Amino acid sequence: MTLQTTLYMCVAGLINALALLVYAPLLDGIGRKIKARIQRRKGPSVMQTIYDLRKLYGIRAIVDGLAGNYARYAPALSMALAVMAALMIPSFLPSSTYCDLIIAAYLLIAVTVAQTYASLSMSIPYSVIGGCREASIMMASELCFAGAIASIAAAYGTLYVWRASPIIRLESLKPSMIIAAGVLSIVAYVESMNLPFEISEAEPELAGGTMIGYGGRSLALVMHSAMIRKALFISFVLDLLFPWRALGAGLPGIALRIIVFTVLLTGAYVVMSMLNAVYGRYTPGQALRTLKRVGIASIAAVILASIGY
Amino acid sequence: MRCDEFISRYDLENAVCLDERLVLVKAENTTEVSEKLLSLSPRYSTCVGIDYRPINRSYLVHHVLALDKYGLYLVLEARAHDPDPVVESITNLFPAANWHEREVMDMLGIKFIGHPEPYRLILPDDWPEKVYPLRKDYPYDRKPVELAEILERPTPRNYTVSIRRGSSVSEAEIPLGPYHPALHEPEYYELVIEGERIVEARYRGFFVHRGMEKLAESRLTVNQVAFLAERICGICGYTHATAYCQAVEEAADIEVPARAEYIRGILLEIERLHSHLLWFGVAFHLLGFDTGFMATWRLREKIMDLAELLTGNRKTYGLNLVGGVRRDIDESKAHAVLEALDFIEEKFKKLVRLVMGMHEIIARTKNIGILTREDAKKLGAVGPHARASGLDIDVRRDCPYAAYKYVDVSVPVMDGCDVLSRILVRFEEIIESVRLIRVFLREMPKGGLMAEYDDIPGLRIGIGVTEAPRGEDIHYVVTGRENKIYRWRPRAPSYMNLATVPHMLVGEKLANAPIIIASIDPCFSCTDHVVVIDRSSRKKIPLEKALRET
Repeated sequence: MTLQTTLYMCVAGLINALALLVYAPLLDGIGRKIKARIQRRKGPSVMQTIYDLRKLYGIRAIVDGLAGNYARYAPALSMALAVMAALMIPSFLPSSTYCDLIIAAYLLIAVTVAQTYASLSMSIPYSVIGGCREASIMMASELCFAGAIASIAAAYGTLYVWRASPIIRLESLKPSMIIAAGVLSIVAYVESMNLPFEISEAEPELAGGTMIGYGGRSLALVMHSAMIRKALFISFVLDLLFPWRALGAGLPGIALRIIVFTVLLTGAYVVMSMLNAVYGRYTPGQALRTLKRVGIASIAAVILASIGY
Repeated sequence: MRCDEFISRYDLENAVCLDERLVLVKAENTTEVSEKLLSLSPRYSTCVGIDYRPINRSYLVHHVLALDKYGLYLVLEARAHDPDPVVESITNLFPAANWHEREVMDMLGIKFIGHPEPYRLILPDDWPEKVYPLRKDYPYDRKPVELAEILERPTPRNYTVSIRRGSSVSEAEIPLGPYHPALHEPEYYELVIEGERIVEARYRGFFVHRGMEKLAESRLTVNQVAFLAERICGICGYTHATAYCQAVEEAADIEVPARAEYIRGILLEIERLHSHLLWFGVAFHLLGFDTGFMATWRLREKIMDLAELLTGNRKTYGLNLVGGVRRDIDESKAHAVLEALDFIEEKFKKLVRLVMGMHEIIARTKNIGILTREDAKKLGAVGPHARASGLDIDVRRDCPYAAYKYVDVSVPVMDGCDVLSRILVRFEEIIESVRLIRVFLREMPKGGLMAEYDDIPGLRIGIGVTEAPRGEDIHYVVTGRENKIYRWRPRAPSYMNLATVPHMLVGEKLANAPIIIASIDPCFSCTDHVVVIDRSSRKKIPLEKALRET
């Protein structure tokens, strides 16, 4: 790796992280607006999430007084992990041609783990319930995620995102990769806390998740890092599905990538918001049963990829 | 069946007809008489304690039993005397009498011999002993204790409010309420869970007892109470006002003009539509389907517009007086109602088709919150809740009143005994309500709106029963002198249905608890009680015992 490449990767990673810090809350606002319009409500402004975060960042950090020490540092930790993932995973700019599938998956999961463990260390029963539910869903969906990644690695003999992308290639269509693409999309949807899988923060169902124990700046950090993680999860799936290299190299290629990526990312949020509006919520049992089926599909993808399909 | 026919057929001793559908049986031994009555398979409806000492130096206890298949109500009267008023408890024969008898113990100090749980129910923990607010010698504006005295007392032991990791590997206690996003009124559940499964359910309520009965008996005139009755509930207030007015009209033999009866019928059905649509919104929200919540509440807005058009108010219509109604419905209003109903029916049917196609909603409600037919009968469940457990009861058909006397009412009954059945029963009831309003508007006769009557005679008994959106709503009235009410006892349907909730919760998943609680469409502003279910025997245990063991 040359110095120039290293410098480019650092700058591109930094730009990606900064862009996601702003764009992820905006996407959340767009999602809220679309859901509201489907429900025939006016809904809040698309900027509302940014306004909320700005206000929360201006308030001192509030943490459940009886929570364990870990809970006090978890918001900062989860934000640090989210930013680290944003530096690493290609989003608006192809920041790293060396981004490893396992490292990307690890960083994405680490944000959830940090927040889940925080909710388990709270003294609030609803938070503990939410944490337990989140842990169950996370473990089930991560298994599916791992299966999809394993099948990609088996199919293309590489762990680099850039080399494996796009996983569905028309010239050599592999059934395992079609399954893997489906599994990845479902996992991204589940991990983005969309209905019917939005279980851990379901207050009407006696769960409070991580956020119930926080207020002010701590809550802002937790919310913000969750939004970045959601955008990154979708970016990661887009990285693997879209034929980015077809857009060409150089400045025109980069400019085109930024436009296409922004459109695709926003489009994914629009689709997810629409699905969000037409689903009810699963119970943890139902969600796990659904993920079990997805898990079986991901195992099938691994088997098929290992034998050359 | 007429009242006198019933008495002669069953050879009831000491029985008299109070009117066409009300039988009074004076019992020396209530247990013995109750055992005889069991063969008629009565449904326990309510219990009224009356301080009758100013009249004949005794207390009266009136157990009201509904004989649905005969279209009659039977009042079983027991007497008690100072200084230690006692009567026999019939809770062992009618488990649904449990809370009613305890309420009489609380409010009038009449003891029930043989009651399995003779503990305080309504009065707060710091209420002094031997002070009974519904006795006639207790002034309505008296404070039982001064604030300073309350503050000096040790705080009564309350439920724990934090999660407990007990000796069992995964056991925990989850407090739910008195204020929680999943609940819409103050109530308190304590759920003991193992994993996600509820193994013990405790319920405590009566946080909002407002002393309306005392106020009505002390300060208000007969017609003023109608407006107070409407304020018992913010959702189904009109049914309370109607039940109260019917009770007084029955006691005073007032014949309400047919047109007024039709107008009452129309407004009662509009209120049912409003209540059911509101419930659907809440249920969809609890199931995470907020789009459904928005859609039903948009339809509910149309219903509230109709109420405003017909009464001048979106809620708390203020339409009823004893003897009739205050406003007429003219042709233009009737036309507007029919147009709006067409729109509401079409949109609602579309919504039903959508929801019935949502597998996650069906999976979350099917075989959830089971209440068997036997338990529903035993615990006295009423309304859509009872009908979803296979009990074919509906006051509109069984003991018709207002405009229901003139039309046939179709009563949906399901035997699924689960939350889904409760949803389906309400779906069908909405369609039936729309049909009934159309029929009422079409067949409404011309005529006056108010009956003409002289003074209300004193010390007459009347029972007003309506089928509220949540079930049988019964108002028991003893008229007083000088245009007053001597005794008024409203019993809301949630009073009966709430007792069934802990039974439905035990064995279910925690995530299903809110929808199970909501499935009875509870109304806490009318009702509040305490029930503890023991995890091993799955039987109720007294609250005090549960508290000691906590």
